[in-house]
Amino acid sequence: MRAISLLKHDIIFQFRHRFYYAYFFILAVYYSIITNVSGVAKDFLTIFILFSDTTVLGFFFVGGLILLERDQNTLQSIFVTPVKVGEYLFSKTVSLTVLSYIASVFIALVAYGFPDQFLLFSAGAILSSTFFIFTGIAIAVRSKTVNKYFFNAIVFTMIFFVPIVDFVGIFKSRLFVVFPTYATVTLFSVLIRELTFFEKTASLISLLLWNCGMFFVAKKWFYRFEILKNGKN
Amino acid sequence: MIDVSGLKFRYPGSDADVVKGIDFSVSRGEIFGFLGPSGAGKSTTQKILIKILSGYGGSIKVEGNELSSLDSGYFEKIGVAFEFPNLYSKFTAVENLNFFSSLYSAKCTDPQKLLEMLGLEKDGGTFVSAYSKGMKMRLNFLRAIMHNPEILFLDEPTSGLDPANARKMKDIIKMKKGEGKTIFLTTHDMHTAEELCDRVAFIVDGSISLIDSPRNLKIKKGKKAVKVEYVEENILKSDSFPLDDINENKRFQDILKTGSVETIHTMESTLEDIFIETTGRRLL
Repeated sequence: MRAISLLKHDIIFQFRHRFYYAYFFILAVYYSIITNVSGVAKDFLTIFILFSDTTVLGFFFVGGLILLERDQNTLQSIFVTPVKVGEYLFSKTVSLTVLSYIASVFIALVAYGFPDQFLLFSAGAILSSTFFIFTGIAIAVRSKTVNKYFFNAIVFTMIFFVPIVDFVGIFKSRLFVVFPTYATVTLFSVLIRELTFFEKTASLISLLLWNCGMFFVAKKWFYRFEILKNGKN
Repeated sequence: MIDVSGLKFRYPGSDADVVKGIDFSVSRGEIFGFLGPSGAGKSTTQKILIKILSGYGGSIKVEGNELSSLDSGYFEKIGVAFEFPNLYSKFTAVENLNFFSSLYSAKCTDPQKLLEMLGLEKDGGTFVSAYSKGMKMRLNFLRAIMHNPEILFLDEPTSGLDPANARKMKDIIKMKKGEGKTIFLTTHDMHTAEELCDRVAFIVDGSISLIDSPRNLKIKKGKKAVKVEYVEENILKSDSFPLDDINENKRFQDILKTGSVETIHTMESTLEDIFIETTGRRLL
């Protein structure tokens, strides 16, 4: 019940801070781009948009949310109620994952119609989104200012975006499989080609493991650097 | 209700304790004032008591149970009003109260009734971003009491309030005491402490130098005398007389008989005077 209250509150909070308006505008831009290209260019652009934007939106939005709440001092008041850190993170993650997932499905529908392997595509979109949200939380709580957050966020995204060089064929290496984003690109490729059983399984396991690890880090750091740090301020 | 013994706290990375082995207890239905200048350790102590700081030394027992062992159910029993309002600015007052009330399992007071308690009933539908500081402070206080908590932690509750609203808030605090609630009040406003607190503790540099009731302190530390202001030959004069033999003091009796007395006051110390005398520090 408390988790539902938090979720409802988060959605209204995001709406009132115009997060959705901003993203609907960006989606409209993507729509006009994708519907005006074809062939290999369309394949590349679609996967690139899914990989670099719709999946990652939670990463930037969750940082913005935490920094806004920190600015309004509301985190202190939340954590002197029975709310647990896990419930707070659950609410942020679900609200942003739904937005990210809807955006990803919209891009896929515009580009190719309903995906043949919709469940696999959905699993890739959802698990990639949650991974980036946990990462965004971990980075936001270690960043004292908005500028520092965006600097740290850009550094992290550049590191995680490395597997894109494999996708476009610039440089191929087996080492890329350790990146969670390699699994993301692989699962999104289901829109344009058949995946092997190994590719499907390995990608899902990779994303699940990265999610577990990053959730643990996000939860621990949130308590240590956001709640206890609030105590010091 | 709350028993603190040997409480110590040091922030991570610091080489000195902020709270240096303090002892105090707060009984059920008591208003306990924690007084001290900025940086004395009073807010840190409160943050430990409301569990947003962990890793303390010594012991804190709440209803006989060690604080560190209490789960999130503890937060059902406490209400906290921080010194600075912390509300969702793009939500109305009613939305803020409804949201926070949904986080408790206990039934909370109706938001409209709460707002009426502090004269905000006409502003319930206004976004908090349009509230003045005083209005935010009132809403902040209402949020702390809405779930009828057993223990209230109030940090500078009347800061930024006009006298009329400060009066209303003090009356609510007294009413809560009347209902048997335990109130931990952190302040550097001696007038508020003097009026509300059953007992006060003076804290400076992380140590408590004194705990007693404001009345006892004023009697023990004050000067037992009366100060009289009177007019003589069109000039305002003042004189003071010891209380011990005032009924036999001829000069005092003579002044009373002239009918020219303008004011007459006992000369007990103020809490602020006693604080300065005891700690050697001012309350800034």
